[in-house]
Amino acid sequence: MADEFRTAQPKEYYRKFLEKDVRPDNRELGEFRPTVLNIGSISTAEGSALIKLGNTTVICGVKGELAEPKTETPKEGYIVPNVELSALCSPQFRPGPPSEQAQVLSQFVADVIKNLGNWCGCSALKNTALPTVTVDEETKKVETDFKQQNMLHLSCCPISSTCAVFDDTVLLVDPTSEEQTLATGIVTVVTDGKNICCLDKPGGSPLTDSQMRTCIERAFQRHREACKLMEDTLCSIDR
Amino acid sequence: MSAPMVCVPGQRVARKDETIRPGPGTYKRNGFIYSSLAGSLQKQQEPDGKIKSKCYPFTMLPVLHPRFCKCAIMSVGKTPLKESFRGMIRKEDVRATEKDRVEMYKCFRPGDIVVARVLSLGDAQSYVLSTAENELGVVIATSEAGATMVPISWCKMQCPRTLMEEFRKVAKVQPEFIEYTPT
Amino acid sequence: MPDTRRITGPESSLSPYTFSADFTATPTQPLNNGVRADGRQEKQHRPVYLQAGLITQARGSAYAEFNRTKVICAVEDFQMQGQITCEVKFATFSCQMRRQPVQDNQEKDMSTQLLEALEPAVCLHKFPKSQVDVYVRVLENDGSALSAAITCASVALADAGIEMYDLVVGCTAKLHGQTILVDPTVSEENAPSTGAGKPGGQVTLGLMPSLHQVSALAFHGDVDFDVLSQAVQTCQDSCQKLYPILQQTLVKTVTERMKDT
Repeated sequence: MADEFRTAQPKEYYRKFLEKDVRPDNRELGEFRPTVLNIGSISTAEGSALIKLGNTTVICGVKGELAEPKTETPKEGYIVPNVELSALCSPQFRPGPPSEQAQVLSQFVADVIKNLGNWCGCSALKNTALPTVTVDEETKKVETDFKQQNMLHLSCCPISSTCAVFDDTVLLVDPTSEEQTLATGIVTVVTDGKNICCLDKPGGSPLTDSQMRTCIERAFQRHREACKLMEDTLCSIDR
Repeated sequence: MSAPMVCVPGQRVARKDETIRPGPGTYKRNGFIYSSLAGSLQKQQEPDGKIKSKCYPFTMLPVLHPRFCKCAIMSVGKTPLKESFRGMIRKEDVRATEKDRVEMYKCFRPGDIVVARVLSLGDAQSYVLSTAENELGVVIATSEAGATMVPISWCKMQCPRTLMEEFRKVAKVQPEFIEYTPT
Repeated sequence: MPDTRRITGPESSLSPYTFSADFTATPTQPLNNGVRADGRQEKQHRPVYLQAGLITQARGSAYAEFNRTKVICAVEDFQMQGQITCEVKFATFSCQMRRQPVQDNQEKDMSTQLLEALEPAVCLHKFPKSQVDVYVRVLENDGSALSAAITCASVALADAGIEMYDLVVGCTAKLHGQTILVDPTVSEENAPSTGAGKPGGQVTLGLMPSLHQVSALAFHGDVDFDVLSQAVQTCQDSCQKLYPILQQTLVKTVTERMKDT
């Protein structure tokens, strides 16, 4: 019966849960899903990371190539982030060229990285609707000398966190894709621990000052958690 | 019967003989019965009489037209579908009596949840559904004010907030669909 | 025409591997005292890891790992006339050289081969109104990607509850003259045949092990017929050895699912 209620009237279903400050997947309103990080699992890529946030999985690979810099910026290289929402992830996505959603995400990721003014290194990826940021430190290869591998230097590590606004009032941290489709608005905050790198709130419901502050506070808190997870993972693999 | 055996496609389930017949999810080839699905195996005594299979999809109505309404089949029986199928209720299949005097907008509105029966596979686009039984029709509907309405007769529902009455082809909900889950 | 839907990089770029002598294909002996470069025997398959049902949003899914070859597959169904479609895609970072995000000819070829391998196994007459879409993504290619894709896709189909006559197991073999290397790695796949007059080739087989039927057989190269038929037999044996892994994976998934409900 619960399943039928859920498919028939999803909003009502959620309201029943949210009245009691709990979500259908047993999380509290401000709780993130369990996060798993794996670094360097793809050996053909120069650097790679896999992150699992509940059932949302993002895999990111970095390929390095040599190219001539632009004449206007002779000391800078290129970074080309592309987000793919392939038909594998969810029936919402269709095969073919990148959808608008994927294009928006790609651009968002590009902006995050560009603002850092860093050559290459941070890869912020999003998937099936759930933004997560994976930082991925890279081995940049110098010309033909493969024995000498330089680790890429990162100026900072941006972590994003997303909140969904339900019924204009309730804030749900780290929404699932179902929650996201039912929500009236979405806020994504990217922080590097000290500053806010990027804030994205496309359209949707009005947001009060205090709600905005909660989102940002939660993002900083998330940054600390994620950094710890990343350090632990990096320590556990040997390079 | 012992603990259910788990089968995978292509697994030999039994030797074919007079006493055993392949059921759904199995097929016979070369004198053996093979499984064609991954799941648990069940052996059943064949029922004496043929039970007429009943199929009650719950549907949501997105589009209304004077002659038919299109709907999305969201669950069949007690199984919710991951992805909705398209269905269509034609004007003449809405109710059993006075078929020619049916006015679609007095029977369904977009957003209603309807219990219906599958009449046929229909065309490539959609299944053909029918609500021409007392037990079939609208079960959940929201009023213009946004509240869930209460049925007051077989053709009317009332909004508890504004006490406005609206026309619907109301289903007489059967007891087999009402489950009491202890909370 | 520039690709406006993706963020594009510089017009021309070179992979650093093109400069390195280590990575350009050098003719090496396929076998060294009967042992292959990674320490395997001639007819030894790499360790296989399989998992089913890992993508919760998809109707069915599976992940296959042949040591470093990693393939993920999802199955969806849509309302259409009864048919099955396959799409194979390499992730841009899956090979030594970066791959383009658009489907290239090799991927299209693999999609067709995968479709041909799966089609005979699926009971299509049971789906008068739905289309089954199989999406395969090669996350890392270390050889035998097609056979990994076939194995993975058939597990994903079974996980999706699509009725099938049998599972399909894939196996690739590389032929170097008389030598048959089962489940080659990328370096073995790319290694040119040593010496003139030493023919070579590659054969991929899709087998329905329970019914003993071959659903797909793809070969390119130039070898004696005897060697080829021997290679096909070797592949069949290898498939039969892999079959229990597929069964166990599915049984595990089904039992776990039954426990949940």
